[in-house]
Amino acid sequence: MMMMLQQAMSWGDVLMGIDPHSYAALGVAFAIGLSVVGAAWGIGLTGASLVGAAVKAPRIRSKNLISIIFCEAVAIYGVIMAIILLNKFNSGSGKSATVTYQDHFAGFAIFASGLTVGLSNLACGICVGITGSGCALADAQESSMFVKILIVEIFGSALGLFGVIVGIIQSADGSFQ
Amino acid sequence: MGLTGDLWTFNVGCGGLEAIVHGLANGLLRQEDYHNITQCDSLEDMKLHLAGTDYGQFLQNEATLSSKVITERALDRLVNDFKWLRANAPWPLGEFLDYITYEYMIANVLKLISGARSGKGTLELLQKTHPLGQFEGIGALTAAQNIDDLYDLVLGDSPIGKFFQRTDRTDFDEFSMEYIRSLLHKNYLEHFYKFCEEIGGDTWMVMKDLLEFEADRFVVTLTRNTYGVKELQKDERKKLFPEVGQLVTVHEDLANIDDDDALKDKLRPFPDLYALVQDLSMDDPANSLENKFMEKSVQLHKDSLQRQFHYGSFFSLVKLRELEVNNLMWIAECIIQNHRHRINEYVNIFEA
Repeated sequence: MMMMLQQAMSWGDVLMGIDPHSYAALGVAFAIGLSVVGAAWGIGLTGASLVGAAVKAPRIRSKNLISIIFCEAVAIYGVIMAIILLNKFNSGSGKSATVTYQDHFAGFAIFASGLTVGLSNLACGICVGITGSGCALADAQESSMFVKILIVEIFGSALGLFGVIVGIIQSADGSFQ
Repeated sequence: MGLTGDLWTFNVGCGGLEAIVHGLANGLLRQEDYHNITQCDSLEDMKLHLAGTDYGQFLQNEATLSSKVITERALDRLVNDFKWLRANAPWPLGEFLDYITYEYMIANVLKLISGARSGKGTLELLQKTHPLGQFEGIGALTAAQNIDDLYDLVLGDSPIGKFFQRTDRTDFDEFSMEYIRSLLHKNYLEHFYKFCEEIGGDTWMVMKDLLEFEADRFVVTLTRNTYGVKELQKDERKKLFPEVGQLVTVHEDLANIDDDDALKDKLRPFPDLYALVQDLSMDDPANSLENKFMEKSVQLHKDSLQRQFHYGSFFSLVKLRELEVNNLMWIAECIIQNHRHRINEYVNIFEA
């Protein structure tokens, strides 16, 4: 027998019923978590090829660390965004019992911003990783190839920057009461 | 998506090894290296020039030089590199590398048997086996008296046991040996093809082309070698063709032909193969078609080395290095026998 509810619930009620602070906390987690996954993945991909290629062509070692640095930058974007979002998260007093519309907005904004930054950094990290791997092998074969493939990597790392820019704008107006 | 992983996961398992393979492939001798060693007057000169390439001091412990010594040391270098790669390879790369060695194991088994029949000593025969094709128990093969013995004695357990199938031919005479050699090669190609298909991904894309070409080359060569051979029935001839390759659709017809014009006719619908046979005539030197096939396979191997994130580069490296060792042997022989006019008949790997 189905229980008769006092009031019919809809998905909208469920989503709005979740405290905005938890949305915001998740946003921060995505921002840093997914960015680090992307950066780690990228460094793993590039590093494996770099280590192997440097066995027969040791001269490529120093120059190709740039690929690793590009992947690392992705993690740094994630940390910066996470800190910005955390400041917004902590901006409110957190003491009022009622949840205002401004709080809801802040929660959603910070969540979306974190997801934006996290996912775009994930993709960017993997992209730079794959390109960096190709760059190491090409440099080992022919030194003049390094600079050309670096340009491809620069375009790839711009993707992470796009994510950060949009993320900052998304969360600009969000602040807890 | 295959077992090897895709673009974004291949490096997790085999990234370092693949990069080392590319590094080794960069060390293949170039046009100017070949130019230098073909200009040499003696093997000492050749040793000097090779010291400046990736070969380095590979002959430094040799008191006397001969083409046999140079070939063996060059092959040792390939074998050491291969064994290192095999030792560090995770699954399924390890199994893939094992498949590459099976071809050499088959050649060794047949060499041992035919050598034993003509009465050579076991130790001498074992020294002549290809080092990549060593496996446990290979020495016991020399004791086999006929093919059933062979199956029972050793091949049940050895890694190449699965390529053998019982046939009506149980003697070790020359015709049967050739028949068995072809049968083994056919089974090997089919098994390897199926294995690469299971692996999937980019490896399958690359190995498909390489193995299909090998199979087609085998079919054409076998057809040409058995024109009018009476002991080989037409349906038996067809059974020796692997079920792999572009020519599968015309195997029926190819099994029945007995001359080059019919061959060219049958190959007309396959433009890249037709291009290799169209200038063929019965009075060509015996190996001109062989050379054309070799050049095409070199092209395919170089193409596979241009791609990343697949196992085909391991296969191509072994084949190209082996070709290089054969080239060095040819050049060394020409230098010793002073056949200057034939010294440039090695197979070119890189142009200019």
